Amino acid sequence: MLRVDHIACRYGRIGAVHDASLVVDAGELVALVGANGAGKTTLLRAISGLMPIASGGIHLQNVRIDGLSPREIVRRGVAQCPEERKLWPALTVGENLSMGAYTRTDKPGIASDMARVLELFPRLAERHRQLAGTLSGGEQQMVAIGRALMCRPRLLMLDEPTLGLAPIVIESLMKTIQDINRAGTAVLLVEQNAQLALGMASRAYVIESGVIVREGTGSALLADPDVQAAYLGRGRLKRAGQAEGPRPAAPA
Amino acid sequence: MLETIAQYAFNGLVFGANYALIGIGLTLIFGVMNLANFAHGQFYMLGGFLAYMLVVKLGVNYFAALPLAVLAVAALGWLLERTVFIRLRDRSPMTGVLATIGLAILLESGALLTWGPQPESIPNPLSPMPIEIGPLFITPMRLFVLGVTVVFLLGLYAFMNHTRTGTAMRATFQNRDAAALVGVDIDRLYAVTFALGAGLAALAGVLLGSLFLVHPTMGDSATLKAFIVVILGGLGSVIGSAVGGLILGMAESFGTMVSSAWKDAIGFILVIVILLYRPDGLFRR
Ligand SMILES: Nc1ncnc2c1ncn2[C@@H]1O[C@H](COP(=O)(O)OP(=O)(O)O)[C@@H](O)[C@H]1O
Ligand SMILES: [Mg+2]
Repeated sequence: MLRVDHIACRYGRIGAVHDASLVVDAGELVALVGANGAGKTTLLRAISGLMPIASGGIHLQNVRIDGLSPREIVRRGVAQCPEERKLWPALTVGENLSMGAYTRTDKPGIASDMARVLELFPRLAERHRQLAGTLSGGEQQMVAIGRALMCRPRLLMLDEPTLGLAPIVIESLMKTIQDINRAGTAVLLVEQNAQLALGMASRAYVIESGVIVREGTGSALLADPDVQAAYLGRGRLKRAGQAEGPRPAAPA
Repeated sequence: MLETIAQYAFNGLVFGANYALIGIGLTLIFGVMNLANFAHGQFYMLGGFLAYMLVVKLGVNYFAALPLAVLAVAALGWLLERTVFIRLRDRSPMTGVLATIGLAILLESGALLTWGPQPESIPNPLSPMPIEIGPLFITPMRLFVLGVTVVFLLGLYAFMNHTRTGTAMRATFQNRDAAALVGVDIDRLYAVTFALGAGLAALAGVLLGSLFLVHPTMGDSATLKAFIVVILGGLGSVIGSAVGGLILGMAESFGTMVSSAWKDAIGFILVIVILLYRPDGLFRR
């Protein structure tokens, strides 16, 4: 469904992503893990059209989407729940959620999606008229995910949804993300917490200094001694393909 | 005595409501677009200037000239955003400051060239005879001006809080990337905001220009007052700008009771005093 082909992104003249390729198929839960500063957020921003790419291409269902505006990309069914939530603190919870459906005009569909979001996060129903800025961190993350779901995405991209949350909150959040995925929405989950993300993903990618260096099933990467070592702070990963031969072409 | 106070309060309200219109326009442009618009007073001037031209040179009815002048300035705001300010986006704030100062000079010189330096009045068909309302003597024009500003302030409140575009504006104000991510067309929203802000200033220009005189350089003090209002209210707060406008209007009006020479200094004294105690203004963003 989503295919990112060898893209590079720069802030001014400084490169942040050098060579990133990944694929997310319909209904999949794919994790993207990497250290702080590896380029995960930049990659998601590029997919959402918030920043231009310097080279490569991004396709959604075989239609090229790089160069489109964020609005066009949301309309095509790619939603992003951004890093640090980025709620509108002085808007109510209800307004935050409703704004998620900004590009839609099908009133009954919006109403049923709102009901679904409130079912997924019953806490938000109680806080519907409260200003989003007054919520706890966990509740704010619920609003951020709910807002992204309100556009009825085919692909939901989550940028470090667990950041700054208590372990018990993280656990229930992860369950909810799995529920969303099981209900048919493909998920691209970006995490620094590799243990957590690899544990629940069907497939995963590892990004290091702007380059995707590994890919595999979640369990394979979790068991990979190199990955384990890298996340214990020892050594760097060899780039996939340097040792093992050419990387297989991304499936169309 | 009470009658005098009521009279000054009424005048303060008329001024204040107009300052609120100007201030809200400036704050919207600042909050949504991150642009300190030093040409804001020139939109105010242009409103009065166009209304004068339409009524006096083209013989248009005053009540038709009012919306025409406002819409023309709003359209100019839209055009400026689409052609000039869109190119300056996300540069350093100083770029925007320099560009709007340049625009202010351009608009003011343009008005001086086509209009000349003399003050003019915008004729209106309402009777100049004050009518007695309770303790007050009020000209029909002042009543009309107050009525229009109040309708616009309430309408603006409803627009910001209860429409899709208004909510998108508040959202963009608070976090632009998040607004873009849900599909707000940021380019269009910026143009709408700039047009709205310029139009509000122009409306105040026509209305106050109908009570007093209009002249090509009246934009300078309007810009200063707009900044006073916005800083008083707290940078970026729409409600704060409304309140800040009313406070400035009242202060000026009662100031003339004490000394008319000090009238224009009062705004600055107010800002200094309020910022001493509340460095973020009355309403924090
Ligand atoms: N706005 C920015 N301007 C300049 N450099 C940036 C900006 N945002 C991120 N970077 C740089 O780009 C690289 C990748 O950052 P980012 O995508 O945020 O990584 P991650 O999300 O994996 O932590 C980092 O080196 C970071 O310092
Ligand atoms: Mg990040």
